[in-house]
Amino acid sequence: MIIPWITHRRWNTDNADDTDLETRTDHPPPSESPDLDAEMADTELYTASQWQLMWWKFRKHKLAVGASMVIFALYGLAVFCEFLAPYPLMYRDTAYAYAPPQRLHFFADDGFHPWPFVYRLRGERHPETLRKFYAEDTSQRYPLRLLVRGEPYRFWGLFQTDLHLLGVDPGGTLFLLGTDSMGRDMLSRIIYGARISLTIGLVGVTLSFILGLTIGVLSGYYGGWVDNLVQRAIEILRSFPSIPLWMALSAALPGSWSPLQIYMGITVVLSLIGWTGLARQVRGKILSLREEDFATAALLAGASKWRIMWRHLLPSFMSHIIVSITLAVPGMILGETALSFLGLGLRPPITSWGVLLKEAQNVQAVAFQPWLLTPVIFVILTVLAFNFMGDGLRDAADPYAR
Amino acid sequence: MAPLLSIDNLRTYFFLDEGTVRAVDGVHLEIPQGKTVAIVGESGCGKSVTAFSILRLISPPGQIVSGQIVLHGEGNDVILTDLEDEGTAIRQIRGKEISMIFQEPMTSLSPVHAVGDQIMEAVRLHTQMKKSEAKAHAIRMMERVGIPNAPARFNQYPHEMSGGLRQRAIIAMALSCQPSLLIADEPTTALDVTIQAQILELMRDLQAEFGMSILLITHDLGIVAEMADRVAVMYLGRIVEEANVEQIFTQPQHPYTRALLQSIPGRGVQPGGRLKVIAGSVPDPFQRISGCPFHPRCEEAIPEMCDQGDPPGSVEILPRQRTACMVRREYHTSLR
Amino acid sequence: MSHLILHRLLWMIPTLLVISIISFAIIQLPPGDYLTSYISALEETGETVDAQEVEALRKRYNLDAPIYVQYVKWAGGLLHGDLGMSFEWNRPVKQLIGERILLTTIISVVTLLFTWAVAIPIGIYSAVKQYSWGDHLFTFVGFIGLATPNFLLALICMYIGYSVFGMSAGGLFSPEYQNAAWSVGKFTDLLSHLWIPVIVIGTAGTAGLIRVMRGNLLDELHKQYVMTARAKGVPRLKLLLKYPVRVALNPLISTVGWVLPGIVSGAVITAVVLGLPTTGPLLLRALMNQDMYLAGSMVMMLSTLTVIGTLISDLLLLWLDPRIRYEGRER
Ligand SMILES: Nc1ncnc2c1ncn2[C@@H]1O[C@H](COP(=O)(O)OP(=O)(O)OP(=O)(O)O)[C@@H](O)[C@H]1O
Ligand SMILES: [Mg+2]
Repeated sequence: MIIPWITHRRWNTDNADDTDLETRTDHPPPSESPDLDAEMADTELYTASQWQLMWWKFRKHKLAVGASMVIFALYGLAVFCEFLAPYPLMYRDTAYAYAPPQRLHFFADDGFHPWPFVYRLRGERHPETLRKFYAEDTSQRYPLRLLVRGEPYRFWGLFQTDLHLLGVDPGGTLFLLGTDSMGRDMLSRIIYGARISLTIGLVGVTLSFILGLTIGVLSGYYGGWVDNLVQRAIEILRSFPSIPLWMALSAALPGSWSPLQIYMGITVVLSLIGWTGLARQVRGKILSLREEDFATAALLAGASKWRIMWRHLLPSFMSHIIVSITLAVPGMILGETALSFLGLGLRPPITSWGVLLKEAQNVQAVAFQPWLLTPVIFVILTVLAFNFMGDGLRDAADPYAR
Repeated sequence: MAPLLSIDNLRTYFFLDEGTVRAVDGVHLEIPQGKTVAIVGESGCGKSVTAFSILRLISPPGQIVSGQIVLHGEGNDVILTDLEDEGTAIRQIRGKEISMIFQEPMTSLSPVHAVGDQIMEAVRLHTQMKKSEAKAHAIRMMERVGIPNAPARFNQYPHEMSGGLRQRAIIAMALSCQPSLLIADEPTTALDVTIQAQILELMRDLQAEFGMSILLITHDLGIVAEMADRVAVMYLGRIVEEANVEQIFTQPQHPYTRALLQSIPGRGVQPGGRLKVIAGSVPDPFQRISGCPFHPRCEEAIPEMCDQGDPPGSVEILPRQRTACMVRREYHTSLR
Repeated sequence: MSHLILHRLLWMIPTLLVISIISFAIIQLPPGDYLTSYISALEETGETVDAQEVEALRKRYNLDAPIYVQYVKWAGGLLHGDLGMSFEWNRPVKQLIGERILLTTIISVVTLLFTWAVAIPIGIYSAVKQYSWGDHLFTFVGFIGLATPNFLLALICMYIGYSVFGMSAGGLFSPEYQNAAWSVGKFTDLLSHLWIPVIVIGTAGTAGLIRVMRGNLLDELHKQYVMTARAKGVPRLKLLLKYPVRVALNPLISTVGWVLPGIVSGAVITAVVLGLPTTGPLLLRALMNQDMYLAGSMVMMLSTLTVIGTLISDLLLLWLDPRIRYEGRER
């Protein structure tokens, strides 16, 4: 006995399905002349509302929204690093090797200064241990300046300029995060490093995404021997322990390669395993979606297989894919950092956060130059931000989430 | 006859971020000894929440905010709503005095424990029986509910059984301690029609044998006609009409009850005619409606009377038939 | 079910074969071989190299044969348990690994136990008290744990061990026990050093496991069977442990098989930073120096461990979860 009132749903989120159902029962499946455009329009409406819903839910997730802003800011660093960094990447001043972070001062003998300044940094040698150490020379102040002329650089490699967002007048130094063994400003190097570290995650994920999606779709849709082959290949690839595999492959990159080639090589290495997970997910989803009615309905309506795939199956799965890519980025960034740290990944002159950290490989560094570890703060921040954003996206993408 | 259980002005709310869901909002109900009371109503009207409230199974964000539920035993009454949360007292009533079976036989049993063990657990919790006795008792119960080859089935896992067998096992579990009240929340919705009939017949037989009361929650007016002695029609957290089963079917008073009846095939509808669908849809659960909660969908609603003030109380407008409708009340008082 | 196991066992053979080919190919990828880089290193320091000697070495290590011959010899050796010779150490690979395998195993197993002992109770707590103050705290700490690169933790722990406990930085033994034979003293010394690698290697895993346990349990907590058991009158704690926790643990227990090899290979970086006498640093050196047979055999060994581990995991799941057991029988 079918009683109409059972079909009323409780939650608004279900409405999308309901409309779908109703439209279908209202128009019996077209047999000869398919009303394909109407069908497509429906799909569009459906997906649009799905994105809209996702966005509304995501907005409520405060932590995730905060995290996306952090990510946005970090990528801002990466894009405009030449301008944002106080010094160019290769600028060094050996007189200031291992200088500790300079403090920004608001107070001096003569009271409060609303605009911060730094004191001149004076290097000295300890009379007995002969260790070099730095002291502030309080007689000389350098106020922090915005948009100053400093060391020249080429912006995006396009044009020459010497404008920096932050800096001090000539003669002073601005090492807010200290310097490394060659007297290079850590902050500037970290900002430059963002460009490499952050893009390697993105490029790697894009690569695994393309691989995973294509292979997963082929495997799920064609089935048969294609599917079999792909599944076996994935199984074998997954039998490799990821870190030793990464290490072996990175070690195999020839030393004669140019920085760009190494960069691409490492990205490929990192995405070599990542795609398998996505391919499996896509395949599973397609297998289950294939059974569902709307694909059959479209097939009855005469749409071609590929058309169905792109117009029907993928949109309804896209949100999941986006979530899994977001959550894959941090793994890649950590992987790059670890490989570079071991000396197997990127090598100088390419500067990534991992490369920077290679200098801080021993306990001495932690004890005497802890500021050399500051890149790791950026790594953690990035990874956290991606994880939080991914979590928020996942909750938003799941219509049945609590 | 003395009631076994009485529910008085029960209100159970869910306090969610989006707002408060007044899932049960002032329910009065009595369950007589040895009889079957059915609760019917649209999905989401609060039937299950009422049942959970009786067993004190509501957990945060849900809360019983007011009202009393009393279990009348021999000589002593237990006020269920006053018992400590998850304390010993309520746990000794669950499964022993009052048992409950759920809608989904597929998921009602733990997938990683043998079915027999799950039945036995109830026995061991509420009686002094030793393990071997409890096992024998569980097997007897399984045989009683018609599970063939019970000793072998004892060690099987839920997924090795069909839906019908599982629901029988769940009934065996619920009845293993001979409760005085069995709450059955849509016990047959997930089963196919022939199995449905068997399970219902089993429940009737067992009721005759053990003499327990049944609170039957269902969507299906056919089942109501077959099983119930009394019927309570629920709408948006309230009972809008309560009467004996014949009265409900022959002289429904509340417009909602009548709409429900008209929406089933074969009743009040000419063959080939169209089924009537209740106009509008269930309002969103966070909303509060002034006046009679049903008035926006009611064909008989009278403006300025039904849409204002507090919801109408339930009044016995015909003998043994209580209805919460202002229009009907006016009509019957004018007749007198 | 035995049919299923047999199928899985047979499937291992081609898998391992392909893995061995790929391993060998990867090791062969870099241009040149150990000898060429060795010679160029010698020449840089100004030493002359005797061409004849080089030729002899080449012969000895089969480096002059075509690649597929080298592979067949190596793979054939593997079948007999002969893992080849290490160029750099001039010793059999088997010996080199053998020396380090005990400590590697100890560290991995202790790490696994640590991970579980910490993660499971916390996961249960977090799920049961979802969105409580404690849940938020653990979630936050867990996220930090996941986001922190192992080497940073290693450095920090080493620094703490060094400055607070006055321990020698790195390594697993105090200097006096470094080369001593095994004794009670050496063992307790080991235990006192073990906490650093265990924490470092285990943190990320613990954080991950907390999330998984919490998620699994949250899924289970809202299932109907929990309500059924509650309606039966089962006391709260017993209910929690016997039903949802039991179900939620299944997928975790079954991961033992592949978590262990995962720890072994994941610990490589930590071991390098901490200077542990385990297999990790050996692999790194071998890869960097093109110590072909050592590196190849180690990659092969780790992969084999992973394959076997996955098999064990599947079998465990089969044994633990009657649902899957049943499906297996159906097939
Ligand atoms: N755990 C919960 N959290 C929040 N809201 C709930 C919860 N349980 C029930 N509700 C709400 O309480 C209302 C009544 O739900 P209830 O489950 O009693 O409906 P029902 O009449 O049993 O429906 P059905 O016929 O679908 O079983 C619904 O609006 C539902 O959304
Ligand atoms: Mg219900």
